[in-house]
Amino acid sequence: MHLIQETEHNRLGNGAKLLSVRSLRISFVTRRGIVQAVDDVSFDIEPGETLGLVGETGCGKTQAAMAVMRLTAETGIIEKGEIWFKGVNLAENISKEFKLVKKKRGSVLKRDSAELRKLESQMVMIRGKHISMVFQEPMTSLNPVRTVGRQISEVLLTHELPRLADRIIARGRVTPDMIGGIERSIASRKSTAEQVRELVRNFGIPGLGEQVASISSRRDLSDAKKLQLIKGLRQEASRTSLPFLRYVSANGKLPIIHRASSRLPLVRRRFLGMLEKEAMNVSAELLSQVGMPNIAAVLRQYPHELSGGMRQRAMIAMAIAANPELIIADEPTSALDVTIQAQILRLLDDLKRTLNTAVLFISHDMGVIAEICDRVGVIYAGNLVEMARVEDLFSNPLHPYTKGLLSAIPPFDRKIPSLGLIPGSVPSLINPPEGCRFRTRCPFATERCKQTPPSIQTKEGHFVRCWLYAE
Amino acid sequence: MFEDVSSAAGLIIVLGYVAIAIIDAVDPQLIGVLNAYTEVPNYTNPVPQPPSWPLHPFGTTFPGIDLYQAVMAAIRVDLWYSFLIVLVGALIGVIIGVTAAYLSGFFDEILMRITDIFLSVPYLPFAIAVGFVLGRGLDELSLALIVVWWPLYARYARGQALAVKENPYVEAAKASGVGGWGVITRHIMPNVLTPVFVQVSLDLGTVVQTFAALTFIGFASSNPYLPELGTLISNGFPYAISAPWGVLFPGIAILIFAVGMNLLGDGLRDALDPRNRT
Amino acid sequence: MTLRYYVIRRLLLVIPTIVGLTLIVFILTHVGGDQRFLGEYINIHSPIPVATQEQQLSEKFHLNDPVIVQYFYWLGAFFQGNWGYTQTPIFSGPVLEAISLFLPNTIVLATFSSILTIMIGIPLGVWSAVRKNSIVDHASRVISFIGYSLPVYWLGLLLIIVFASPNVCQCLNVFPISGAVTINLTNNLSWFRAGISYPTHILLIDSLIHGRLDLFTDATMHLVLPVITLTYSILASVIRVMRSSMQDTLDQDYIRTARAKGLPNSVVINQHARRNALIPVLTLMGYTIAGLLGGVVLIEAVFNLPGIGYWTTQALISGDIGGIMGGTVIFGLAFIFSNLVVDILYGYIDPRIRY
Repeated sequence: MHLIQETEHNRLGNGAKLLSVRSLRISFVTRRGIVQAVDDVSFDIEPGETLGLVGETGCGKTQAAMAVMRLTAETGIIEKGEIWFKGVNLAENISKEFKLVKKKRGSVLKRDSAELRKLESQMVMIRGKHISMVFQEPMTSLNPVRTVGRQISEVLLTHELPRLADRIIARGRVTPDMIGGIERSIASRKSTAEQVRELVRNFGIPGLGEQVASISSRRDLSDAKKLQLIKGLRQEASRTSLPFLRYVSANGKLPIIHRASSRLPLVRRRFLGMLEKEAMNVSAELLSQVGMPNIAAVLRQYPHELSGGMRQRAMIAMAIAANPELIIADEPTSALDVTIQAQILRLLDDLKRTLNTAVLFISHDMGVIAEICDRVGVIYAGNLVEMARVEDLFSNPLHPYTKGLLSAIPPFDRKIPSLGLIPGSVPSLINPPEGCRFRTRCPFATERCKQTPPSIQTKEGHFVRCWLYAE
Repeated sequence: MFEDVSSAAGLIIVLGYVAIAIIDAVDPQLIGVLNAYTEVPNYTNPVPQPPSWPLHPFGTTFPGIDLYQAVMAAIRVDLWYSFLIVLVGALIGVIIGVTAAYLSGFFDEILMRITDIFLSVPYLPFAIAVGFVLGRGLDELSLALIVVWWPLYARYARGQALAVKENPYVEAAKASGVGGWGVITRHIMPNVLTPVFVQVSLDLGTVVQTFAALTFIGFASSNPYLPELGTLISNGFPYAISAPWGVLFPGIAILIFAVGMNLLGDGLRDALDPRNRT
Repeated sequence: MTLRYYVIRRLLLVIPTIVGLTLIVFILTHVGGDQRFLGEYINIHSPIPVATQEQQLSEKFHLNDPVIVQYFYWLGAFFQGNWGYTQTPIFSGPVLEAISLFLPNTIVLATFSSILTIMIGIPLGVWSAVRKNSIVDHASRVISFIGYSLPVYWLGLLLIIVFASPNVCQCLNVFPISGAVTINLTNNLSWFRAGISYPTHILLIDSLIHGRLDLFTDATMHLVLPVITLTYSILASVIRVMRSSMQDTLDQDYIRTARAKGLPNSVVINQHARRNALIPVLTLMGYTIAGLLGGVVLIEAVFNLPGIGYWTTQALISGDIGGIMGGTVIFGLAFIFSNLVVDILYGYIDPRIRY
């Protein structure tokens, strides 16, 4: 498996999928047996699209998502499957990484630490940078003893060093003429944002456009104030730090001397400190993008000093910091109350459009899925039972389980005598039912259901795994 | 709990010691102890002798006392005092702690300040000081150690009781007319006692060591020939190099008991830990 | 609240604690009974009859006044530096002087042990938790377990038997048996009298000051076994607590977030997990320090090192009130201030508790 770089091999052409998960099988080794949490799950995500995974608690949707990041828990193993991300199979070596040794009493999981170390060294370049994650519980998902600013900066200092260095260099390279040009462009009401951007791009200084854009797009500032800030963009970088900055910009990491000596206070402040400060600036911009109030204060505050909605905004800021191609959102609103939920969803929607990120949105709430997703997959007991465009799924649910889920939502436009129920309960995944896992509760189950139904496409983009739809 | 080999081993060890102690009290001859209440000096040959079979399996220590008998008999003495100290200390501590938690407000503050004062002194020097004032006998030492030990339990029990007190079901009980005493005994106590129980089992090992440590330093019974592990070690101390068995065997006796007790305590804690309830 | 406010508040709390400590010591002093207290000061060789002496002393020490008044007089004397008088086989004189002579050695012992404990214990605990069920994990668990089941003074004796005597093997007879220094080396030294070195009372430093490297080496050799013993017994608890705390921390959600951010494993462990895991370890430091102070007493008794613990033990055996009280006060103060430092560190590391 090679590094994910912008090579010909994995630059996506039109129609190429960003993420392609094939036949994923994930199991967990517990004292009571092997839990087959996910079985034969496949789905794709196109660049910029939002795919939802919906299912009840414990159905395996979170596990599937964690597997994409290769963050499966210690007791879990990806038994088989492929996870193609931008042309690279992240699950290429699973056969070498794990071995499930079946013994007399239960099974034992053996991990090859050398292989896993190799895996980790590859994945740390992907996580946070190309695929990032937003978790459900922002209170426990943020480090309680670090300030919000530092936690967001951390992502930038890990993945975006060139960007930080470029920004600092840009401020040294911009000339008063350029500043004048930008000012005139902004002051004249006639130029659009796009024209301003074009102008800045023509200057050819990387890192400048970003800073100008972030100032001009701020809605809380008057034009005069914006112009003042633009003027302030011109800052000479000291001569000694330029080589350092250029190295960082070109190589994406600190020169060796600095990595080692960054523990010494004075050296640290001079060089690494410059980058840290810049990271804080970018963090402030990110917080503004996610609609956080009171940014200057929040940067220095600790997670427990923020409200639930603010914490989730901070988490989202962390997730978009390195401009990932894919964001995995695992029930990001489930822990928030309804009004905040709506705000966060709207935020995610906006970001999705401005940044053109793909989103894998996991939820148990059909309403939320309907609001934000383009396509949705329904998961039951570790199986993907139906996949369709959102409009199709809600207007024409095919799988009996999907129908059951939807009938349990009270409609707001008419009265119904009672909510639909799906009788029975989710089967134990240690010994799941053979074939279709829903057959124990399905009103339409037949003998045929003891065999796993294939994925049947009923119309463009609508797939279902149910014998009812077979010829 | 019994899945775990080590805690089972711990339990066996502890039971073994308790058995020895009981046998000492009831019928010492069974394990070869002639006189369970005193060590018998042998002034004709006071120099410590190395272990020999069958007469002196552990050897002798100054002045001519058979070490095997002394150690076996001392186990009873040490166990008795240690259990006494921990149980009384825990009892006092729990009562004070739960009362403070239940009464809250002013009384709680006062009781906790008092507890804190006691906790502000490290236990060993404090035990020395208290014991010194009261006298250097073993009973006084036990009293000193009880005084040192109860604040820990008071703190612990109070914390547990406070956590439980906030639970809605306590409020519900009170609302449905259960009196104060009933609330305490039926709701708060059971939840407090379980972790306290675990703590007790862990502490027993520590107390045995501390007790023996203090007797080693200088506390002693009025009866100089009362078998006691720490005293045995201090007797053997001047001869540690020429007759190491004199300090080795009593120390091993303490060590094995502490190991057993700690294994048992760890096993209990793991078993009773709510996180393990699947 | 800010860190500064928290520190000030914590400092203020020290005052009632010290008051409580002095109260305890005072009560202990006087519970023993006035006669015993007076007995220390009665000079039987004086021409004044004993009864009159008792009367004079009673008045001098305000023993006829109500207890509260006595306490204030005592407190006054205490803060003026008059902590009473001690008469033990190794030293007789004012308590404060005894403390100034003996405390440095105890500090040396305690400091070395603490440093070694932290340097070894914390990394081992972290490693043990990160690589669960590895050889290192099992080994350190066993070592740790034996460590806190061992009577600390017995371990000292064991080490003496093995390493300071020919019993096990002459090849291991490396270290001196006891004491702080080999007597022969100290004959005819102006700066070394009666077992105490001047000016700092710490032999390690004084020997260097006076240019006696052989004495320095000798003193170091005498310290090796005691330090190892003490370190081992404290180490055991530290490893145990660090390991369990680290395990708990690694289960936390924010560690998962840190990994999801693409932070390399070493950063996750060292900067996120370990730092947070140290918090509960700090809270238990108080108890560990109590163990350290207690252990010091035992070690000094076993190895014959002239420190506070040794002096206190001697005082116990010879029935010397001044020594006992002085020792208790010193240990109490040491405990209070070390807890203060721990609490401040705790407030510095964990911003949540500053409220």
